[in-house]
Amino acid sequence: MKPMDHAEAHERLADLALEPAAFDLSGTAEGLHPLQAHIEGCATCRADLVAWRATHDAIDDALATADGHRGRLADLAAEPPIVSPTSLRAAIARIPGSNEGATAVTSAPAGDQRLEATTRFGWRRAAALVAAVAVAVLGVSLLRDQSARLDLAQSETRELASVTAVLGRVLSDPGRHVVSLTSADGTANGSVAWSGHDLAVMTRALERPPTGQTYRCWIERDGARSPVGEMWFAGDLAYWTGSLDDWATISLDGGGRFGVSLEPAPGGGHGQPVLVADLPG
Amino acid sequence: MDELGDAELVVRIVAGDERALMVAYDRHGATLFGIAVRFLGDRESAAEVVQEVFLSLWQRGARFDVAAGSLIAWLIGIARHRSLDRLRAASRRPRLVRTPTGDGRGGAGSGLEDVASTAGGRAAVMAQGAEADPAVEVDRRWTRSVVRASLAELPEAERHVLVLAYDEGLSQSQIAARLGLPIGTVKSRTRRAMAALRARLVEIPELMDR
Repeated sequence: MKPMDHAEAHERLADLALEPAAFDLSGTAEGLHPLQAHIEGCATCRADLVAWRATHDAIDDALATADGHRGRLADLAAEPPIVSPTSLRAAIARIPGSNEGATAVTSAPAGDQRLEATTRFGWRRAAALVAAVAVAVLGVSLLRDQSARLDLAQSETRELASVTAVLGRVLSDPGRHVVSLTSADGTANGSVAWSGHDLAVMTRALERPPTGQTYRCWIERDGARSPVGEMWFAGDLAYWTGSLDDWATISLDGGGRFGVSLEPAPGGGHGQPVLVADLPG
Repeated sequence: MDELGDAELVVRIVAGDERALMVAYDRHGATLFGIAVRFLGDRESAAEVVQEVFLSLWQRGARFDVAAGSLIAWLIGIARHRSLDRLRAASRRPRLVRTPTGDGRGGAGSGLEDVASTAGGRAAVMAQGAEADPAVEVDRRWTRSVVRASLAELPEAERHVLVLAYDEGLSQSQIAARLGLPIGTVKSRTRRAMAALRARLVEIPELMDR
């Protein structure tokens, strides 16, 4: 039996990785034995084999259904990507500022340097320079502002598409539930819709909360309020979407009241309801 | 800046370059958010986890070792720890909701899913059935979340060959015949898809230690 070299073994493993059921090296298929012999003496290829096997195992795990059957990869693959909210990017952008001692990337020129420059060029030239810089800064600001608006619009479009996808799945489920959200005066102002897998809360009755506050969603049963989520915003739509798959920790089928209230962020949980919906028992 | 590799990006982040942090977020934030939402089942908690991950990158990016793996794998590893911390905190809270599944899995005394509600939203289920080990169950769910998020992000062409291999059990040559593509094209698509999945799973120690 001709021994297999490392490069050949590496390629062979990569090829085997393409076939979900091909990792049984104890099989009798011709060509597997030299590979096995190489792997036994090569730590790198052993690690490679472990990683490929683990990847296949992970996919098999992901396909396993709660009742012990095997689901379809096509169903998993059909899940739409989850779009992260615009506010999350803004929160990440604030991280450097909140970190004391972080190194600033750029620093403004010191005041005395500016004064020296002004003196050297004379006040007329300095004024002209300042005006030119102001125009340039204004132009850049406008461009940046337009770019930021475009980014925001694109992000909101993606979020709305994601909400629409969730709502579409809910409404196409024969076992769906839909209840109305009502304001304090009893006016219908949105809805809570859910199936066995998805949840979508939507309303146009809320405006974006002031800084430091957020709209919390909660479920109230027997006088006890349990926070369950938070409203996000895309355009003038306020929404919360979530999964009610097997890992979900809430049930909307046990009666009680679903509500939304303006709360401090973080914390809160006792604010006056601005929207409520009765849940079926 | 957008063209920089992850390793160079981290060097800049460690030096305090805020733009590099945002490029890293634009590159990997959506993946991390998708995994965390699938694992925690709640966008708010997921957003908090992602913030914590990027705070770690900003403050402790020097610990990233490019020789040990990719940046996304490292970030996924941090996200996993943060998500598990949240889950443990949630499991210490009183039970608030029980969710009978209606298919015989739920109901009193029949392997109820023990659930906990977090202050920020929904946390994950800790299965406490007689045969289910909660720790194993949690690891499995994290793995599923990573796989699901990764699958959702694969290009359609790469996803399609995986679907044919897994759902229909077709070999690479059978897939090539079915799609009318050269075998090399099918192989390279499958390799890219599998490599992308593998790269995101290597930071799950329990998976690699099996």
